[in-house]
Amino acid sequence: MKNSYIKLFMNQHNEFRTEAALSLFGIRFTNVNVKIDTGCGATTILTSKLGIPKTEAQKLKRQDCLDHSIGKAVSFGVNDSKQFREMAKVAFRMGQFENLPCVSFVHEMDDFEIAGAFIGNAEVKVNYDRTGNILIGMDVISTWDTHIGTLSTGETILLACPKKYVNAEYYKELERFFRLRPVIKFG
Amino acid sequence: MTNTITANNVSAYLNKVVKISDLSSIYDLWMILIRPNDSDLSDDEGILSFVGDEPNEESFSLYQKGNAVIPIYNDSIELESDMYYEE
Repeated sequence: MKNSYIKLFMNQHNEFRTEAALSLFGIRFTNVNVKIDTGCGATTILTSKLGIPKTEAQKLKRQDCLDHSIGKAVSFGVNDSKQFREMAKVAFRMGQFENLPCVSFVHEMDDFEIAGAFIGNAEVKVNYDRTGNILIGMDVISTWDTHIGTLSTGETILLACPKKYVNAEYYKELERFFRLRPVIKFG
Repeated sequence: MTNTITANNVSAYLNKVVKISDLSSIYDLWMILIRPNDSDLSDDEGILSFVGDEPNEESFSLYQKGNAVIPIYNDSIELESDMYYEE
């Protein structure tokens, strides 16, 4: 960990992207590109973005399918047809997870860091089939104190800190960028 | 003179320590770096251990406890102004 808070500048694609470090399946991954997405409810780790080959990902998926203690959930993409969604719903309810690319599996991610700031452990969903971006969703973001605003330079900044690790340096940055100060209540 | 790492010469850097930022202009190629836990490499460095079109068994054999794995794939879609990922 090298930062005590998260500071990101919006890129030219109107995104907040950064690098994450996380431990999953007993392996430490660092410098993993992720996107902050306040419109996403569930943080989802795509094994394809971790460089795990498709064959190995399918082995891991099979293990998860057989493990009744691992939570499963379906997430649909915007381009999934109604027919696909109906078929997937039936297959999911029947426990036919293996052939469904839209099924994610609940795992505990250890020693999670975002932009060099320590987040801790987090329960996330892991998808073994999808490609695209790793999205950090509101299940994680809601555990942060988060501010987004535009500076006099025209840059848009996201300043955040896990609520349980709020610290003096973060407060200094809040004041510097947003002129915000903590309110101290007496009595 | 500093040598620039490009898609054409990146394989020559296999098993060498490289800066992750030096790979940011190489697109549509998987580059997997390893940072052994007991090494003194900085957060922006790793040993380039695999270069290829797709991850495979060889690259996955690098995924071991005791190593930090740095998977890098810069998608050229991100360069296109009229193409983007929906999610």
